Amino acid sequence: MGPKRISTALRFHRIAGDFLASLGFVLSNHPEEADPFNGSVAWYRSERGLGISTTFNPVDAREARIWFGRVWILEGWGTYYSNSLSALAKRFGIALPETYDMSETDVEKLVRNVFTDVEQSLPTILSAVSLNDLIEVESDERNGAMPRARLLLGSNYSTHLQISSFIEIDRRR
Amino acid sequence: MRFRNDFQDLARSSRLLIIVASVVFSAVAHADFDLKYIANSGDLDGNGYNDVFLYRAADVNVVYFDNDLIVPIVKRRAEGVVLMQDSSHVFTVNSSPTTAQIATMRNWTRSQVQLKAVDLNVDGKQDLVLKNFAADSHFSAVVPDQIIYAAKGASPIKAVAITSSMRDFFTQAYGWYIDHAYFIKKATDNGWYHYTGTLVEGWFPILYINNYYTYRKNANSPLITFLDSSDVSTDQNNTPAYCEDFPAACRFNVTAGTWEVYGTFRQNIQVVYELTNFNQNAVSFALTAAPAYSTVNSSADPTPAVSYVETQLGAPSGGSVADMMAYPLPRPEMPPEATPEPPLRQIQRPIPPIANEPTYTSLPQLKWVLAGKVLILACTVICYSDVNVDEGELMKWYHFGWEWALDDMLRRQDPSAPVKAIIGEGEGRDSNNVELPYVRIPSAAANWQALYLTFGVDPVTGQQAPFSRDGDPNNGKFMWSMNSGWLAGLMAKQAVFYDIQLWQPRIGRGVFYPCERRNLANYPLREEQNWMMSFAYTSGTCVF
Repeated sequence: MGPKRISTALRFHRIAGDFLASLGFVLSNHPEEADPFNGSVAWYRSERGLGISTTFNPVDAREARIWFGRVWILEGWGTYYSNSLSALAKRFGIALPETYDMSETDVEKLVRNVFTDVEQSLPTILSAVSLNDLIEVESDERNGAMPRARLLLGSNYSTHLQISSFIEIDRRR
Repeated sequence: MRFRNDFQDLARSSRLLIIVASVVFSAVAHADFDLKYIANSGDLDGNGYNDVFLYRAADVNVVYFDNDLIVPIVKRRAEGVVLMQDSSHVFTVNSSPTTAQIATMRNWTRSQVQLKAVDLNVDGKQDLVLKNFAADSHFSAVVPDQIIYAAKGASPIKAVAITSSMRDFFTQAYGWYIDHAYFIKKATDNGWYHYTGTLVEGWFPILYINNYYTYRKNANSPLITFLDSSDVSTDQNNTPAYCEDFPAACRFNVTAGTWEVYGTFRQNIQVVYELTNFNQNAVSFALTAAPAYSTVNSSADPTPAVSYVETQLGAPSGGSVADMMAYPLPRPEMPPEATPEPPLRQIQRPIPPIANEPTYTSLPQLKWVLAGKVLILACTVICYSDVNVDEGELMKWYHFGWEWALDDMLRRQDPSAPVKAIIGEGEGRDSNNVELPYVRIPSAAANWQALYLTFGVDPVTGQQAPFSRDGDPNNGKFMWSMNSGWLAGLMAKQAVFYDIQLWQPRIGRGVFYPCERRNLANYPLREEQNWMMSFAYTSGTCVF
């Protein structure tokens, strides 16, 4: 038995966990677990009905991704989010990469980059995002949750999925 | 200690039986070799060149009687073979040393020569490979590695030297076996090619020239291509790189719709690969075998191709499915911490009668598959050094996949039907990185009665068995090595591959499918099919 490896998702959680908690996001899985391809994930939920998932797949897809938004649970086909964090960020004038290349071996640098992007975009997004914003990015053919649900579940997809209830900030106050 | 008590009861009642059994075992002399063989070295005939005494360590069973009496029982007597070295470092086998000689040789020092038991000629009998004589100070460093073939039928025990020519043959024949573009790629990499064509002065399309020629801007500049990455040879408004440097030698031919260059160039250029730089027997093997590996259930006569292999081996190869399956290819050692281990689908024993039915595997067909197994096994011990452990581990995974392919073919409902197999992209994971149900490829396989690569079903979960759960970063390359071995095993049987391509809803592209496409790039029996949201594959890079 060699020393236990630290998963990339756990590395991410160690530097991002407190920050995300301060924004109301609670860790909802075990980021220390790595899959057969050395892939790992840290995903978080908030009481506003939003989720954020950071996936690290160094072998199977050689990329990391950040998913964000309402949580879509597709019957038999797993869990998805409104779209990538980059799709939401773009609506608020913040440019983020859609994926992060994992062919490089500097894991610490990668994790730091992912966290920096989350840190610099999420407060802005959370303070301004509306249900309309989420529906817009969910309909996007590129990584949107709705086209994926339609592909996987067919035309009456809405009867086979659950979408988390999003609580919008009342800006009239 | 329930087991031990049972064993004691058994031992009491069957003591005579065990002793009789030991006599029976001792009569099986030199049936084949195994890992219990030991090598001693010394000079038996006093010619100044040391010899090798190979003998088998006795099997000893320890039997307990009444908890306090321990009786060792020898099941199998040691057997001896002497390899006599002459002044040319050639070994001949003496398989009947006298009792006095055996007594002498048992007192020789233990040799540091490495021993590997492997059924190299796939005749159902394990042979012994002796490597690295240089590690034993009794031998000159120039003594070549040796294969000691086990006796089978009328074949005597025989020693064959592993020469550099033999190494070249197996490295290159095996290279071709797993990638039919091997010779062309190697020749290209090494510059072993030249062009033919008639020299003609005149105007030539720049795209044609760009394919075959480079130029220098001046005497001291490097060689560059006629078109740079932004040039379009048919765009009149986009002047090619060469034409900017030498406008007088360029024109845009409006009729032909292309840029042209003036000069003396070869017309109808053909690339001639200089195959004389390769082992000629390996080239001949590939040329002879190529038609058979491109046709479903080819009826091509395997004799010429197999004879190249047998000549290099210095021994005849086997001729039955039972021979073929007597010794599976070496099982890889799992990466550390790997758990659970993927279940190895055991080869059925005894071999089902149908396996030797001509309708399942006619002799020519069998010989083609067998030739492939010989190439793999031979490369295990001949092509690679023992120094590169990682390479050796990959090789074992490759063999593991090959054995699975063989097993898959044997287990089909109709083993006489042509072999069909599915390749394509699986479902991957959802946005929480949870693996999606593995449905697409298995359902395509069911639809076409085809095979697909699987680790089997985990009996505990009822799901597709995992490769390993520990996240070892090497898992990916081990898995691919196994996958490519599986493909090679099927290609050796001229399987038809139904390629269902990419899966449209997948998040991120899979890593194995581009590699499958690469390995099958020169294999003619691949058909693209639509199945469950297929998405056309246009390009991709294999990372392994």
